[in-house]
Amino acid sequence: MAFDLQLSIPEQSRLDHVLRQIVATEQITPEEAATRLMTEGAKLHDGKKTPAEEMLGAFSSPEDVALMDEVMEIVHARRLADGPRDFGL
Amino acid sequence: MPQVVIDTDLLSEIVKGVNPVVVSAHEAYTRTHRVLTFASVSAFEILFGYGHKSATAKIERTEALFASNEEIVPAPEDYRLAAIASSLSRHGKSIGLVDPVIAACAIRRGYGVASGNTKHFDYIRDAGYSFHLENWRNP
Repeated sequence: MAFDLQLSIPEQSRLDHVLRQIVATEQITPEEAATRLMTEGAKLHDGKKTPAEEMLGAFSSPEDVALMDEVMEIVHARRLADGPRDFGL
Repeated sequence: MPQVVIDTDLLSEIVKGVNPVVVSAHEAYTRTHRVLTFASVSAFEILFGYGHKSATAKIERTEALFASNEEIVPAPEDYRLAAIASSLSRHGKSIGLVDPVIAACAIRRGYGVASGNTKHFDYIRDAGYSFHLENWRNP
């Protein structure tokens, strides 16, 4: 659902203050700051992680990290066995 | 931030969630994108690795995570485009078969590519194929 949205933020309002703070600290445009605030608001509203957010740190225990490192070693070895000799590392 | 196809190595870093630079890049991306996009060849590589380790529980969890995000199953046209790898290998830049498939999936859909190791994708761009490229280990 894509649409144009025009908002008027009252000067000195709480929202105005927060937007200015984000723009100053993050060095992003007011539009980007507003987008970020709406995204954060959506998270608070539905209280659930998005599928993309679920991916982050899904396997972050020390055992899981070690296993994933072994998995990537297997992947690299598999690629090497399949022919290429340059991993680009 | 444009939509990107995330390569195998970066997918592994995201699920580990321990590299603060990758975590930060992921958080920036997910402010505007609900799902992560990856090629099925990356899913295959990771599931192959878990299968090799007989990590059945991890396979099930990984499949569930992948299923809720966006997996691109390459079409014949993607594989035709991925044949760009052959011109690179003729010039001494052998980059294997997986990264060209990932790049082709991105190029044909107007997406970018996100990787933690952009060298192979730089080769493809140097060969004249234009696409947005992000390094999430070194933004």
